[in-house]
Amino acid sequence: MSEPSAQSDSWGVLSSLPGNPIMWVLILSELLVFGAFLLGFGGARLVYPDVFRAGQAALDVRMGGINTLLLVTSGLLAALAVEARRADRFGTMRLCLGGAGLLGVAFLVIKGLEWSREAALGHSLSSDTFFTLFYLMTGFHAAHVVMGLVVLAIIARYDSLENLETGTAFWHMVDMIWLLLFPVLYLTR
Amino acid sequence: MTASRHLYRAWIVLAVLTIVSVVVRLMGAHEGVGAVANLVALAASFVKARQVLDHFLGLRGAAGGWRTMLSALLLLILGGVGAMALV
Repeated sequence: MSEPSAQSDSWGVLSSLPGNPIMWVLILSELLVFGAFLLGFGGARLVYPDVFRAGQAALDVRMGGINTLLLVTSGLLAALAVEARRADRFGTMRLCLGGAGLLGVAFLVIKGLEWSREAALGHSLSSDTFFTLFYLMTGFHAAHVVMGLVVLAIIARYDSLENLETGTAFWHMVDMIWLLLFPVLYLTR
Repeated sequence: MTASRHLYRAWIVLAVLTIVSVVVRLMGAHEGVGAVANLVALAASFVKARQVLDHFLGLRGAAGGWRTMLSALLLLILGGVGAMALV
């Protein structure tokens, strides 16, 4: 992302952050919201250890791992799109944005398969506390992925450098949130 | 592509740490190394989130203690979850 511009000086302490300051307000807000979710999840596990142990054992860690690799690779492509835009290589920029979006769609497809698998095993939103939180947290994140795909499509059309930096920052935020969700939901027991 | 080298390096770190976390968890399921797997998963998550902040979101050069504050927030979240998992 770019260095802070003179135009953003009026944003006070946010002026020292790269890109559009409003995006950082959103990033901080989302971190706090998902952070509260994750700490709540940890607290609920203290109350229902057996329920959470059984629930996590039913999850497919490999699917979660593949989805993590998809999102971080998508994040790389989004960052490369900004680099390409800075160099006025518009073809490369669109290719990278398209690749980032496709990997985001692949993430959603795998997430859908994973939800279907869990549903087939009889694990629904109302099964127990673990699956209520699992579906809510992954569903809320998936909604962000969908929104991120819309943002990527918009910046591919309206491709000013500022739009690219701001739009891809949203995508990186979605990526970063998943990097926190994945270990807590799937790996930490 | 020289300017993008740090992005590729960050991606390699992200991919390797993801694979290591998954492998350690899968091994832990069989060999009873749960606490180690927890530690690896949460530490890897912290490092990965920092990579995204620093390289993909471009926070590396930001002034004003933002990196410290965001790192502290990540530590609070992951440390809190880790501490509760130890109980």
